[in-house]
Amino acid sequence: MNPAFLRPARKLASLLALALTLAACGGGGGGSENDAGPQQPAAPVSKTEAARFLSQSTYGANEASINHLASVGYARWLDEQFSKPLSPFKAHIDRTIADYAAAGTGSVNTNDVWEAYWKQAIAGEDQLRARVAFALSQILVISAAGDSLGGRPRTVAGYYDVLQTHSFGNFRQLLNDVTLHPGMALYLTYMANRKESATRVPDENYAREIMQLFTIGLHQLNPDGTLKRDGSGNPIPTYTNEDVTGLAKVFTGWSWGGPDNSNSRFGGGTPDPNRDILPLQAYPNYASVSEKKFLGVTIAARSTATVADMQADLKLALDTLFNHPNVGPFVGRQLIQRLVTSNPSPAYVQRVAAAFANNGSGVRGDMKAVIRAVLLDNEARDANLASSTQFGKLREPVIRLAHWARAFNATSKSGTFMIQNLNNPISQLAQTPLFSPSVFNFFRPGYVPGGTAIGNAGLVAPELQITNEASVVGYLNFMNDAIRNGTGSGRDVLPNYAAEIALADDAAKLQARVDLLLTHGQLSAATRDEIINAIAAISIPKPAADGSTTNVDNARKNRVYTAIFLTMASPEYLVQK
Amino acid sequence: MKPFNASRREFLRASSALSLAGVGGAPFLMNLATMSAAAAANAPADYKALVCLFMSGGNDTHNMVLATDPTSFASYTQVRSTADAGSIAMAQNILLPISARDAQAKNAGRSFALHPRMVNIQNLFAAQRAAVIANVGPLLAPLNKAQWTARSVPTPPNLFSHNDQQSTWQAFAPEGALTGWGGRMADLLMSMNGTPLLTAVSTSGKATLLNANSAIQYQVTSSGAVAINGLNSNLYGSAAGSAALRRILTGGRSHMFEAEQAAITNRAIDLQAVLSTNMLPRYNATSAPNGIPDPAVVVNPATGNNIDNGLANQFQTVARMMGGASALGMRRQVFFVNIGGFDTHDNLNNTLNDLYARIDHAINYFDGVLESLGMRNMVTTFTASDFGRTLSSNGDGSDHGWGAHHFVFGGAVNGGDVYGRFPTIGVNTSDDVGSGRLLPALSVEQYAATLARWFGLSESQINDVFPRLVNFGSERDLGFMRV
Repeated sequence: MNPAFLRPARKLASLLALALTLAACGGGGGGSENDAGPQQPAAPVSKTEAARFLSQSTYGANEASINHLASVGYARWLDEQFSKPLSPFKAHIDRTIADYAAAGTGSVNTNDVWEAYWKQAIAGEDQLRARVAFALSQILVISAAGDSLGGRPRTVAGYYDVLQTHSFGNFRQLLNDVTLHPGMALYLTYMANRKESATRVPDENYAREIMQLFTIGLHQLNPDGTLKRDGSGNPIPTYTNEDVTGLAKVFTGWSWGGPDNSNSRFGGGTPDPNRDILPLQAYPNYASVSEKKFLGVTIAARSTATVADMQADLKLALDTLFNHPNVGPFVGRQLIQRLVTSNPSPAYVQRVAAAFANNGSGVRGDMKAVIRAVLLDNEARDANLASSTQFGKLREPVIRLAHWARAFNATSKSGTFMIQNLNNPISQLAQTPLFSPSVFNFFRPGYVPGGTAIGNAGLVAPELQITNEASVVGYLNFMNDAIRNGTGSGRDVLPNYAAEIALADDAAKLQARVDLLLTHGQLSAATRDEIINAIAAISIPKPAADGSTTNVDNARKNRVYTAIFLTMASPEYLVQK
Repeated sequence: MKPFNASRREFLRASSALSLAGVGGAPFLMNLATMSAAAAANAPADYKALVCLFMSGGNDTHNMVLATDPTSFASYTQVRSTADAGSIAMAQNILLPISARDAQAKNAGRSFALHPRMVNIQNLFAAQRAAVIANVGPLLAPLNKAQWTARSVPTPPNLFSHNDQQSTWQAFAPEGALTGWGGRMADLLMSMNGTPLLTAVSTSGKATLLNANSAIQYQVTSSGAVAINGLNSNLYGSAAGSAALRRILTGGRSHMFEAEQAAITNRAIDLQAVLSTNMLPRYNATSAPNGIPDPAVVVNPATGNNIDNGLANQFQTVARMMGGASALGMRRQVFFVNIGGFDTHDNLNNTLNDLYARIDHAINYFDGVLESLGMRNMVTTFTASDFGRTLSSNGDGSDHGWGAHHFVFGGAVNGGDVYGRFPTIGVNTSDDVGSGRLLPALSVEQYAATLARWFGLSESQINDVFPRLVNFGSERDLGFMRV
């Protein structure tokens, strides 16, 4: 039995609330054009341009969001999105905990995090924030797969809220809050990390990965993201193992939040009820006091450490990383890869890195400026560039599913969008949000598919790392079923094909609608004709003699399923351009 | 190749230790017993396979193969013990001794033992179907401590980085390597095979090891090769829809990413058709009496709970492919299986108890299945991992290292020995580059080339596949494979 069914009262309330929301905004996803406040002037774009922009900046287009964006244009749409309130995942977990407490049974688990994820992805108004937070969750990675966080859904939800919060904030603050979050401390094992002694050395895990994966990477970069090289043509490392061991000392003495910093609390005793989401705090008794050298910085040895010393050391360490010239190109390139294209030109990376370095008002790390630079860049927007045989990216499996649900206005019977683990490659999607196998994400930004034209051309294709002979079958069979029957636990998430069924008698019009929603008109003429002919081959019968239209309805539905599935099976859809 | 009956008896003896905490042994053996002798008779005449068991995360082999002579063990305890509940130093009296033949005399005066969860591997070692290769790691050329300190000999880039060292073990280059050494061997040998596209097979996602120029790495799961619904039958009731689906999935593409997506899908369709009749099923008493039996359940030693051993399931899938090798005309195959979770920065004791129990169970299961297929001498399984780890403790775990010990399993292995000089245990030794990170004494290329020679590569092919082997002079073969 799914524990979610233990809380019918809230599910019903949520369902009603959702219905009201839908009634108020005509299907969700678009309209806040009446928001007050200073706005960019409207600068209309075409529907196909709007749909393409939405594939890069949201979980996918639907009719309402296309129409709205087409009318206001990119800049104003971005401002609208920047002002949307965030949908905290922790609030969903806390409501669920309260429901279980009232019912006297049940406990939250990772399924509840995924419910919050899918509710936001499919029905959330804050689509830009959601998509950027998902991108950040694949750079500053924690995962509920594994022992450290598998039993801590509130921590995982709270961590995702940190990413959401700073998606429109500043990267420096993001680094701070990520570093002090118990989710990261548990995942990368610096919770209650102790200073060195005769019998132990500090845990090096976070010191290494915050450099390699979260901020500066392995090699010195030019401002355009290309590698700097030494006189022999070799890449130049950004840090040595001595920098790792030196920085590791900074991450000693930090442990659970709570009302005091007693030795007991450091070791996990006397847990505060909110310690699973409270920022870490300093425990000077366990902090290294020896000299700390990293990245050209030296913190002198002390006889004892204070809370203020520890906070100053942490600030210096994070400032040093944040101000490293690699961060803009390193993080900026990955954000481009998550949203727009796997192989951005160096000039594109350089423009995004410049926005990271200075938002125009002298501020470094302004995420809004970075997002604008990523999405409004000519390389992202010029449809002619998109016709190159190398532009674009394979759509992530999770985003394909969300896109389908959004495009066809899916709703949740329970109101909580009960879509759960999707990892099985042969029957599901080979990807589950917040559930990557390691801190190296589902796929690497530098993944090169060996033995392919892509690899031989010197290109990367991150999402191809989870694409293989098993996963292509898993995806097709999963979508074949979901398109017809809905998806999620108990088929909780069901599409609404009313608009498509209304067009079903006209194969070309049905195909055109699906094409706009899913591929912004990028299907080849050959594939378009294949789909139109396949739709038309399903004949619409006359109603039965008794007046029943069941056979007519079924034929129309099969036309809609065929139109959507063939589109989502096509390589032109699977590669977002 | 040993007489069938003799190896059968050996298997039964070794399997008496299978019952990890007492479960599952009996039904497993009964299943094996029902496998027909015909299966063994079907084994191809000239077949060899290599199976890479990759341990993702960086295996702390300081706790997997231990030197137990008094000097070594005292040093191990002194460096590793934190003398508290989280201490990652093991007590000597729980270890499983192994008696090395010491044919190379490099380790005179040393004695060795295995982690306590490796009782089946202990038995395989005694039966000379398992060997330990000491302190292997990526090197560009032989390297000593003085050269390391002086930086006078180049070393592989991006040491201690997970993804880069995974790639370096598998392809001798950091992340982004276009071909792995398994794939390069597949390129050379695929023409021997009746179905060349099945020369390199992974059960655990894309593996750099199997990246190749001409060969491909084929992905198969424990569900076998599954068909695409609506492709061989109507799509939403329509034959026209099905036909359109096939053309859309498989048609030629000019966009590079679309072309690769279509190429993978084409292979999935074609090879599913091949494997639907040529991959052995899972054993079922009525519907699949010739199938490969499911692995027994493993008991987690920390919790006492049963766990489904996904690694053993991968070996079952490999065995199901091998069982079809004869019908497909296969003579050389390289497989990749994977078990994750080795990044033991914390909770090292519980983690290794669990992971080593899984490996021990899976290796023993596979040994038994191969015996039943009559293929034990044809298949060699070797371990690999990102890197070894520090000997120093961070309290309840260890950090990224370099050299590590590894196992080679199979009937063609010169087993029962420890190959290579086992390092001096401690910190600040000539084998230590910091906190007990081992400076490798043997290169991965030496280790791999020894396997490749058994696999049938010529010396010139070996030089092509392992370009830095020439830097290691006459030590081109570590001797752990029977000629």
